[in-house]
Amino acid sequence: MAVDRTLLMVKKEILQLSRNRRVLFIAFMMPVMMMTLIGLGFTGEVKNISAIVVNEDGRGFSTTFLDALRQTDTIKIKYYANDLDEAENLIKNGQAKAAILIPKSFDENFRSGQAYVYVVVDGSDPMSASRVLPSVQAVAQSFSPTIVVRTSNIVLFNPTLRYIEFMAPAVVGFVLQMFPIMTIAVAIAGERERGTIEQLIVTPISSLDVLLGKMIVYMGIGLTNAFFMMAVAVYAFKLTIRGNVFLIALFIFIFLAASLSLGILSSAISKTQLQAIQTLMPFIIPTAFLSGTFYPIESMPNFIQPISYCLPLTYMIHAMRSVMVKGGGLEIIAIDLLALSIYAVAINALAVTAFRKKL
Amino acid sequence: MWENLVETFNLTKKFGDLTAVDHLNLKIRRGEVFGFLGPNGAGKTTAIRMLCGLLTPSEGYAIVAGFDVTKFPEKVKERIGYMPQRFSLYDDLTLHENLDFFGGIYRIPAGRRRARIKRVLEVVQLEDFENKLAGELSGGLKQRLALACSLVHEPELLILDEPTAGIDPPLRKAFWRYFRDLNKEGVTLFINTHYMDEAEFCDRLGLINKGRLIALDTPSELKKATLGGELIELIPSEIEKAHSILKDFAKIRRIEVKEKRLLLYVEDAASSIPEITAFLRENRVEVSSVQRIEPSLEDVFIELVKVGGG
Repeated sequence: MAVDRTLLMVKKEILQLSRNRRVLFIAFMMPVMMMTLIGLGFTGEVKNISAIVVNEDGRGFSTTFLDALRQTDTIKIKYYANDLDEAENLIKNGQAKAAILIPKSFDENFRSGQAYVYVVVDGSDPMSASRVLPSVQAVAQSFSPTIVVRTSNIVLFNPTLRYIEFMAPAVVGFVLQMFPIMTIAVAIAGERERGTIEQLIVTPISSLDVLLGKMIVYMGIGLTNAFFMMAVAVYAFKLTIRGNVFLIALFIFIFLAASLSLGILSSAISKTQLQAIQTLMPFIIPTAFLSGTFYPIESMPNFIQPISYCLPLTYMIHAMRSVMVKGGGLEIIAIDLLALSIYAVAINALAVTAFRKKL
Repeated sequence: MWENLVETFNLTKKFGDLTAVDHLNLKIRRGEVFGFLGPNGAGKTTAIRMLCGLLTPSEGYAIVAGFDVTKFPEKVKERIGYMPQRFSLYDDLTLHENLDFFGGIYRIPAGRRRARIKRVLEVVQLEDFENKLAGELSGGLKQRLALACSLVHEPELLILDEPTAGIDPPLRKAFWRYFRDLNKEGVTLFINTHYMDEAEFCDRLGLINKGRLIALDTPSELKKATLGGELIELIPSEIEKAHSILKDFAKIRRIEVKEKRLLLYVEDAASSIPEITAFLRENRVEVSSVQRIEPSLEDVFIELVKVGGG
């Protein structure tokens, strides 16, 4: 290992990157865009959820109640159905996200203080579903605390939990997995594809210097990405980071090193850029869906869950959510830290060995 | 100082069942232009890659610039320049940046590096392109840049893998001019080629076929030794008759019929020509032309492959 040669690699890599606008865009803009899109798409209140009204009573106070519902901008009453079956069919067909049933004798019951309404929500869209119930409840409360809003089917989310708090830590982990793996794998496989690696090997530079130079550059990009993504979440979407920032940084560093090593490994066993990406696919696809980025692992089928716990991103996301949102400390994420550290060291050793052997 | 800049001892490389290089024993002298000649797939590139430390031998070893390549690859790499068959520099760096990067890896101090870059660009006549991106150069200019890059650290030995493959004849000539100039400055050159005409320019030639060295000598000695002396081309009036008459002529070692010409291999052309023509005239065969010709290396190669059963 030689510091001067490693630094030459770093300088060369930065020069090349500075001329590659496409890679620059992917490396710097995509992560920020992802965080922004998820923030914009999911944090803002959900509005105009299409709803069906089944008014079995149709008299007196039931109409007043519906008038009040029409005033909220969360719910938009689009259909009127005769009974619950008809309403559920409309939901099944995707024409509405929720149904509100006002039972017979609602008017009389209201006057005697025992009224209730049913709410049926579309569980396939937890975002909308989670908003319907509180809105109906709010309207009901404004008339009388005695109106009971009953739900059938499901409510997935704690209605007070904002989606950005669920997503932001996951997006940080997700991006720091996908982008570094891809970019470093493509960068190294590209040198092999173009034959430039051969010109490097006939010089006295060691393979370790070559790898280290690349890792430093892509580690730098990864850390910058992490910083920008958190900045977007905190400043644009008012996310509060409750845990220790240094602990978060430590996780990001370890996880980035592991991701980069995996990218190196895939490039070491591939001849071309395309092959390197193909090699990564069987890892990337399950990781995207099973690591808990978008859906909680607990709600996955039992036979899928062991797969989730084999994916490093699962531990990263758990740690990020625990520290960033819940303000947890080392005592909660010790297992994640241990798992990720072991994984990072192992995959790095494997990658370096494979890379040197290939040369 | 080693007299031999490259020495290989039973250098062998196997890829599965295929033996690409088979017990190669070579000695390359300091200061010579050595040509490694053979058809595509003969094992030239594999041999070169072992000399540069790009491949590990399956058997045997190579001493390059005084060091065992397998044991001290870094020492060897500091002392040799290598120009691969395919352009392998960074398209998205300028000529200067490419040369500066590689010069830096060889630890040439910054000040001297600038001077060296200027010098090597002059050698290959690319001074005007210093700040252009390498990717913007045409194929021939890229090859020249590759040569410049392999020279930046003033190597003792320059290893070139088919440096002129696929470039046009005028540029090939220019390349050989560069090689000769470099050689005058004391650089030893090891050149892989499958062009027979180029091989003539080398001080010594190693002929390789199917991984095995089948001959090693100067071009003229190779011709003499392989083809059994000198070559006379004779055009007689009646080819069949001339052939049967000369078949038993003592001084002729071998006769080949090529269309209307006879190719005669003799010990010494100058003394044989009058005797042969006189003998033919005695037997009433007219000779319309007779002259000593220079056999081509191609003839040598074909002959060697035939004899060696390659």
